[in-house]
Amino acid sequence: MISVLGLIGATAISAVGTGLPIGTISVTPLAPAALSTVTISVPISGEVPSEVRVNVQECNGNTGICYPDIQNVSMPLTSSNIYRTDVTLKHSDATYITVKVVTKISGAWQQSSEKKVNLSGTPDGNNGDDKGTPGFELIVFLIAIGVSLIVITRKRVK
Amino acid sequence: MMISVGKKLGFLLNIFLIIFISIFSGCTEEKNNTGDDFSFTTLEGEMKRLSDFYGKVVVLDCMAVNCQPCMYQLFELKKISQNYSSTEVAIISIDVWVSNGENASMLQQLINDFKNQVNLTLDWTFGVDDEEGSIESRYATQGVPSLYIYDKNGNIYYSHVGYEDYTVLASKIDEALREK
Repeated sequence: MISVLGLIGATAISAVGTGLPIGTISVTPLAPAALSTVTISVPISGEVPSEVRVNVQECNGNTGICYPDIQNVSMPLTSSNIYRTDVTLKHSDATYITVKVVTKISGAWQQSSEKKVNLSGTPDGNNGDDKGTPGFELIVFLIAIGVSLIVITRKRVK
Repeated sequence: MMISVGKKLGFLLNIFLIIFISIFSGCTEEKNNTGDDFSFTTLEGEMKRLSDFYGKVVVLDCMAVNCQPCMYQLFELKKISQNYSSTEVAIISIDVWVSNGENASMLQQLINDFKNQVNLTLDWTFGVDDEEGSIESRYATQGVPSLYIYDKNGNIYYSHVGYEDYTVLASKIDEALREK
């Protein structure tokens, strides 16, 4: 859960992530682009978890919106105690992502604190949704007017 | 004579095409002006409906616990709560990310955190969507927060996807309050 204190710049008291075996989450590249693939890794010490998953949420800080399709991806063990996975981001207009690791250890789910990663920009320069501005519809509309004018003109000639 | 009939036919065809294409190509106003009813469960476990709030201007905040902009939005909604009478304006915040694993206890924890960590009492109606995500699928498909202002008759007066600050919301509420 997001710390309310953290929102207003005060020292956040995180109820999760303290004293837990989940280490620091690493995201590479450090400032990934929207729609790119990021590699997420985390060390987990102590008892071997039966399941490790990562939740990746994409948000747009300019419009103040978080997208509903949170990715929940399994993290396989890749080396001694490091769990790693690749996640491809979905939203061209996302400006940051939040990453949270959840693990199942001895039948109980534990979660890490949330890591926020700012995105560097879109790889294709596309700014995403145009908030309902007509594009395709406008073209169809203009073609319809054009066609109807041609029909009228032809009728007049006859 | 033939030209006159042709003119009339052409004119009618033209009007028909313009109306037809406008309707079916999506050039209609995005805002849904016909408010509809829905139910939700409050944090107290009570089933409520939007229609229970008819007669007041309603601010519907489709939000989630694990959403930073939604937290900022709560600060703006608090200003509405402080500056408008609850007899005139009702605020409803509904956690619509049940499908993402959120639940009533997480929402209650968030409210407690606001109280304990920043001494802010979120004193309006809070609820959660159902397991099927009925409210999310109708009102928050693009993301959270998704905000709606209903007039006193339950019609959607204003909608916005994403964080919105107090001044904008207040001006829309004022307009909705002036509506007959």
